Amino acid sequence: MRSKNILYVFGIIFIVVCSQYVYGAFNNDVISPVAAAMGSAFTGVDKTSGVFYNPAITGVLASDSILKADVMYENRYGIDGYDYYSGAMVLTGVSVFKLFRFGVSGYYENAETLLSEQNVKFSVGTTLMSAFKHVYISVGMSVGYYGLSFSGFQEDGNDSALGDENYIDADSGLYVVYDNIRIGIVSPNMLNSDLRNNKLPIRIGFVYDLSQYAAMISADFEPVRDLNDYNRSWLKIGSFELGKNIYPLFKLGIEKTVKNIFTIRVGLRDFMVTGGLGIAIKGFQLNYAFISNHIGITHLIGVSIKRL
Amino acid sequence: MKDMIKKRKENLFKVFVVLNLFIFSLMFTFGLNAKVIDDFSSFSSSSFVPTANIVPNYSATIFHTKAGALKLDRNIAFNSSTLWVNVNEVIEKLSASVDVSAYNYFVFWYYDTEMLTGKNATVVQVGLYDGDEWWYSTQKITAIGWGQIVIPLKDTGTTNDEFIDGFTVPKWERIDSTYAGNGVFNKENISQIKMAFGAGHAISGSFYVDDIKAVNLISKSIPKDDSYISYHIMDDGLKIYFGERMNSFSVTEQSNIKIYDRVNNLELSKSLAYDKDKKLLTIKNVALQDNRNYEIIFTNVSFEGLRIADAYRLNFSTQYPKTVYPDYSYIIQDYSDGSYLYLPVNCVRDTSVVNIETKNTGLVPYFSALKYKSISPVGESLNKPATVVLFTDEFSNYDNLFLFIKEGEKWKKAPSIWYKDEGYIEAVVYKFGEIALSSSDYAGVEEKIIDVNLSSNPFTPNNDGKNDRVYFNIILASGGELSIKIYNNTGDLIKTIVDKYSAKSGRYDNVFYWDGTNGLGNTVSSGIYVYTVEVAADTSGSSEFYSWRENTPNITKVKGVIGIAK
Repeated sequence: MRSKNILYVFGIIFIVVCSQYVYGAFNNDVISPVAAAMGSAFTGVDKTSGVFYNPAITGVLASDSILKADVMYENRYGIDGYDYYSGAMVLTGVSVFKLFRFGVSGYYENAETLLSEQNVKFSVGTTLMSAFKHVYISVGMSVGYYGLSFSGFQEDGNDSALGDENYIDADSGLYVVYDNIRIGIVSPNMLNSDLRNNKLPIRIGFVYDLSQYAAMISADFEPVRDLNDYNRSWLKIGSFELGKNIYPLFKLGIEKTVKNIFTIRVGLRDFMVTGGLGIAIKGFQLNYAFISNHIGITHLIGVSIKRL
Repeated sequence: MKDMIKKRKENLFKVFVVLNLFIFSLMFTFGLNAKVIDDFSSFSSSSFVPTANIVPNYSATIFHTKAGALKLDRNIAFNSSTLWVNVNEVIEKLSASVDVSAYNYFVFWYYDTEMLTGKNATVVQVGLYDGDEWWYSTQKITAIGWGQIVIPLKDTGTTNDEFIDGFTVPKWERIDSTYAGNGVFNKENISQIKMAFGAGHAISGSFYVDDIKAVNLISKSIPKDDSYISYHIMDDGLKIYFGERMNSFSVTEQSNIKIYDRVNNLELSKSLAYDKDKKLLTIKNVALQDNRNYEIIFTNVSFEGLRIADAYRLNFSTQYPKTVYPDYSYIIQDYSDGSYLYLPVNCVRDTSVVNIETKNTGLVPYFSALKYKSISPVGESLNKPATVVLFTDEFSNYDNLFLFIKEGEKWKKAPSIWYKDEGYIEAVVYKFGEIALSSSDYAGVEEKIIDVNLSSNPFTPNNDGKNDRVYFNIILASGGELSIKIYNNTGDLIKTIVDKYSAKSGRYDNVFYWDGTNGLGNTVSSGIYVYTVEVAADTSGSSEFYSWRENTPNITKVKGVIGIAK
């Protein structure tokens, strides 16, 4: 009981810290057509792709199958040679001490012959307070590798500045289930954030589960989006000035399943429309999504797998 | 105990509710009203002057270098012991040895901001390392503005400038005793370039170098920006136009203009008439024969803004309208803005359609045959853009004339300029095929953006002076409102480079860059970014000659990827 009290305290401190010192996350928020169709508002969604957005979801994905996986391909924005592959997998039927569950997610992004970017995250999560009626609290952490490989330089092959770049980063997440409400709070890419100035990135997800209608509404909010600016010093509360030093990111998603076969998904990401379809065939679900943004429309195809 | 647990549970839930209300209140306060990040400062190309004009295009160059870095701010006090200013950045170690044995000249362009003569003149020393020893050539710069240095890629075998065919050939000589060398100018094994700048007296101002390369000059090059030259073979003799943009040209009694028949190596007699206002030189009483190749050599002729050694030469052929062989065609090969093809006067006659064929698809395209009234396009792509100069006096009554090339079933407009007074149209083509003329730029315009060239990509915005910017060189078929924007890989706008910039058609004007900063002025992280180039169409005019008009108003958008490394 005492240990649970300690967890309460740490959980609350974590949330308060995250609320006061906020920071943007890495940009890439596409891992599957399921998530992308819902505007990538997946921080609070307890599906396979959710482990990429919130490692704590790893802890709540128990199933009678051994694993769940979600993979996809995208030719980004229709640009020749700009390809994107990603996926997530959770060992839903495997746990350690009936407590910890594990997942892996990541992407490979290849931009023509210029460079490629790759990421793989290993997630572990556990449910802490399943004993409480209707209330489940999970925490999780993931360690991720980010790599950039530069494959060519058209003017000067001698430029020694060009080489591979490699980063290690970590996400921490909290996940709360109360009846048909889910709340996810994530601090992504903590190691590359400005921790020395007590600033943490944060992303908050909210889900309203309408399972009685085979539907779900999700919303994500990043108080400060990442503009690849790692040197900001203006993020403490009190110094916000909309349009000048704060650029929040809002995401919204709705999913509706019909006859356990067809799934329709629509969403908003940064107030631009996303959408998609899913067709379930036995242990598989074929998924399609589109994302519209300032660059144009991009199309994603993928498959969700649930295997014993 | 149960009550305590229940109470704690309720308290915990309240905490979450309160926290989320707080967070969502923040969201509604700041978030829902948020607009697209689009208030970043735009960039105007005007601040590029004059460096914009020396943005290199190295698509087919032999020597890779960084022209933007070759700027020398001269502030040299007179000191006889420090005649030379060595610029370390200029020294270029090539990634691999380069074989230039197929090329006969070493050329580079320069831009001098000061008019300096005599001992004050800038002196440029060029060095080539052939794997065994350094070879040097020393040039004196006496002109202001753009100019070009052309040095033959051979060992002249003299310690003094050599006088060949009536003009002075700069020397290559071995003056660096560090390398013993074998004394053979090994053109097939060039591995380093070196340049040094100096002057005998105090000088100031800036000096730029651009487009250092090996070329295979068949005839005299046309200066890149400041002037152009054309010539017509008319019934009353040979007319040479020196163009409106040539600042001055003077022929004096001391001028030496010789015309050679290169088949029989005979000098032809002639008489000269020069109309300075029209920049027109007419050579009369010259007995030109068909199927002959001729060469004109000028010496002691002053060209302001242009200096090619001490002489100037033109090659031309009287084989029109018969086949023009590659070696004697009017091509100026391997220039950064493409190859040049010159078609003789009135080669386009009744149908205004000409077919251009290629027999050589190597590095530099050859236009080896001209045909009239042909309607069968070859459809073969060029390895690089080529400039077609089409002489015609058929349309001299029209103020506007544009060149179109047929691709498939569609006619696409080539970036073209109609020099009405001189009677020719200059245009850039990318494929062989049928060419047609129209007085309207509206006829069959399919694409407004012909090409978007990026250099360097990826780039390294780390302020080390190397590849700190990516340049956009945008070639438009016709003018319009040009916008260039940078996004991250999830579509968030990072920076607006230009927004609704009034861009011109052609090749030289639309040059912009991104320095790797976002709208906040901070350098973004390494990774993948997406650019969009968008041109809003303008619609006006009608086709007066032909009915190829397809009425395709459009907004053309080009997308691509940029990589950033640190």
